[in-house]
Amino acid sequence: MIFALARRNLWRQPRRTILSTLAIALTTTLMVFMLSFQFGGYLGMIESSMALFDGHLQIQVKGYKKDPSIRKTIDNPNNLLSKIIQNPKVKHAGGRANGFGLLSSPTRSFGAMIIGVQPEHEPGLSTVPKKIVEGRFFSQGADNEIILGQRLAQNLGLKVGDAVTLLGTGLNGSMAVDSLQIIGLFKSGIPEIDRRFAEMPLTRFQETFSIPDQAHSIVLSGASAIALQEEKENILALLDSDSNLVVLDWTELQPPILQAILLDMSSALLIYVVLIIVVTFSLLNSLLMSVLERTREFGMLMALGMKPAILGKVVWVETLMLILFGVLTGLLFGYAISEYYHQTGIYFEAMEEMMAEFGMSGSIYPIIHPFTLFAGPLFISLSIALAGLYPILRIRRLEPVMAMRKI
Amino acid sequence: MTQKTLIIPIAWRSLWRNSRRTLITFAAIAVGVWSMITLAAFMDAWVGSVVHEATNNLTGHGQIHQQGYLDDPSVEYRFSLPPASLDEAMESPQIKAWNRRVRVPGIVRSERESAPITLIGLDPAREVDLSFYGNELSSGRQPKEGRTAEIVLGRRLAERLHTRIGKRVVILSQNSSGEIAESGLRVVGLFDASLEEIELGFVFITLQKAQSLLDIKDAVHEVAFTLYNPEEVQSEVDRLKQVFSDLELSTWSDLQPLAQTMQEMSAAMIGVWTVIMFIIIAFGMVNTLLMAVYERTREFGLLQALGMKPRLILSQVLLEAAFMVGIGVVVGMVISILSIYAFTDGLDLGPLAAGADLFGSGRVLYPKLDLIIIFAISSFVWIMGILSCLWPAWRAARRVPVTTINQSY
Repeated sequence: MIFALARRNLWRQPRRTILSTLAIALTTTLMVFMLSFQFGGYLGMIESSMALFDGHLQIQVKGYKKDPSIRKTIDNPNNLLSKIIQNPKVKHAGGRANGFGLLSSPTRSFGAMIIGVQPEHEPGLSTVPKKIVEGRFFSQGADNEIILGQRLAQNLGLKVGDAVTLLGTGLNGSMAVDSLQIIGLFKSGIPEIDRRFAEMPLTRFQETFSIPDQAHSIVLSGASAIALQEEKENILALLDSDSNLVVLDWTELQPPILQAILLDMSSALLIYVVLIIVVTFSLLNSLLMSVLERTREFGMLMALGMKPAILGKVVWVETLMLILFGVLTGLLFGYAISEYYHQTGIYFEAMEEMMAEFGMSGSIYPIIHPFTLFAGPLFISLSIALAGLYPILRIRRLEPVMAMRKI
Repeated sequence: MTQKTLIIPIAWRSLWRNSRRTLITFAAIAVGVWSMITLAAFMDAWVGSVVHEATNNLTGHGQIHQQGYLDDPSVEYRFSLPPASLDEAMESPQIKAWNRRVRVPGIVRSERESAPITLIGLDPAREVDLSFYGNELSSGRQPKEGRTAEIVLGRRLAERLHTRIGKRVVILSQNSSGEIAESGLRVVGLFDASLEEIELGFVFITLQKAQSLLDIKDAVHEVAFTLYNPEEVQSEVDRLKQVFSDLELSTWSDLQPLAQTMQEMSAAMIGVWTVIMFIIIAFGMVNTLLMAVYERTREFGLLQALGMKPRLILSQVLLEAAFMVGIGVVVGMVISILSIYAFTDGLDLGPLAAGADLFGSGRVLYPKLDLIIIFAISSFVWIMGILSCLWPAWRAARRVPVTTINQSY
């Protein structure tokens, strides 16, 4: 009976009910979409910023991240690789070494970060091999070859096939001198990187920089940065317990990304709170009025012996039905919009430049996750339901005789 | 009192017939307006910070380079001007500060480590009001004037190189004849910068030392300047283009397109938020006023039967809406001004500074009271609020008197 009463009460004022439902639905749609867009953006930001060099997880000597000195090496990286690849979540793993040197053509010289990579593993770890715009990536067993950022080669005045001289500092201040042949140029789209990075085969790097059979990091990749983050402890367990190696996840490899996400989340949280407060106030009035205008009716019903508790229940069910109706409509729309853009992506022409800074393309793909779907509706429902208690409290205080005299 | 002025007190008193309802509506409008204005102020502060970071980190409001330098910043793309002609061209009432710089890629080497850097030769005294480098160094002192073999490093670069004030480092860079020039320099000062890449990537020596190291006589790579009014950068750049027709003139937004994008994005966000918030408020407001009109059906009918024109009833309800929205807007304005005022010392993003850095802003945001924005948002909500109440007002006015008077609850 309560449900029937509540339903009929709602449709006594269809206009008001529809307006209230629309307000709830609009807010819910907005929150569902904003959350899925926001988290889609975060995931895109994490993956694309890790994709170029960092991989999903790295093993390094303790302290290397903070102070990347050429001395802090991992011995016998291939031995370690064979252990780590046993973890089923790890799809690819490879060793890398990082150094710094002056690259010279006959006429020009530029300082560059030199990365030693394993040709057989690197394509699974980094997008650099896919970003070759001229020439090719290293094939297995590559030796005196080098790949340069496109800008770097341009500034050096060199082309694919030319030789470049490398002059750097090896282990313990030894001179690292080498002559390498350019076999490919990559273009990441980030000018700083295209101007400052070069890759060479790890084995040649080890010779040149005098770190025989050593590497500075083991880079791992799996399904996603988040997936491997959960695997961190298991991978640490595979390493010798007495070694001074550490496993770094994306938050440690790219702390600014984590902080940027936290910053964005806290400002977004504030926006959601305001959204919910405003929609609650907006609704509170309608809820309150739907009770006040029935004061006489309630007085009469109470005079006839209906308990205030039951009246309260009827109003409470009315509120809940209103919420349910609005939230479900909003959820449906929010889901539909998110799902649509999840497929097609949202392209921001104006933001392309900014997103390139994070290593992203111009598109954001919203994601659908239980959290993004239900967090918004849940908090909206809670907040409005809580507000709905206020009119009910007023019913409790009604005096039947006084109430009946009200207009 | 004429009929027309009479509706003012009627509307005002009608508003307070149900004071609880009116107060709740005020609250919804006030919170909404507060969020719009405060968001606008903080977005504005963020954009301001992005622009400040972008310009303060050596970019200035505008720069002069040799054609081709921006694509390939190397020693070759230098330019040499008779000092008098440069002085004359930069002697403008708009220009606040300007400086000549040598700016080339190079390498710094300590006993233990080496790192890629951008080598900058300049006169530090002229960087005041131009870039962060005009501020005091965090420790040590500036190199002595002339060709002194002294250098200033970023604090984090010094840590990475395991060097400190008093130690020597070696600088390598390509000179004008294509050879590697090498010079041993003593570290005399360390600077702090808000961006990590600046602190790690830039080293400073005197202009004369840089010119002699690179063997480029009195040539420079860059002239940077700031203006008293950054808005006028385009006209100033156009003027300088006339003078230096064979050089490349750029504004800060050419050099830092990111800051420009952020500015546009933020304006779009403020607009979208204002509209969304308004729609949600409008739902509640229209609902409330519809109710207020509905419960007074009999009263309006009676007024009409007594000869009040429907137009006046419409005006009366609209006036009620104008009061309701107006007071809500004013309250929202006051609390947002107060909350912006509470942050005049700046909102310190503290532990998330590196994240802020990624978005291009500094670690402290300074929201400012922009009266134009406050006024624009407030009047938008007020006017749109009244317009959206046309519907209930119209309903009140169109009732046929006789049927409504007879109608009972």
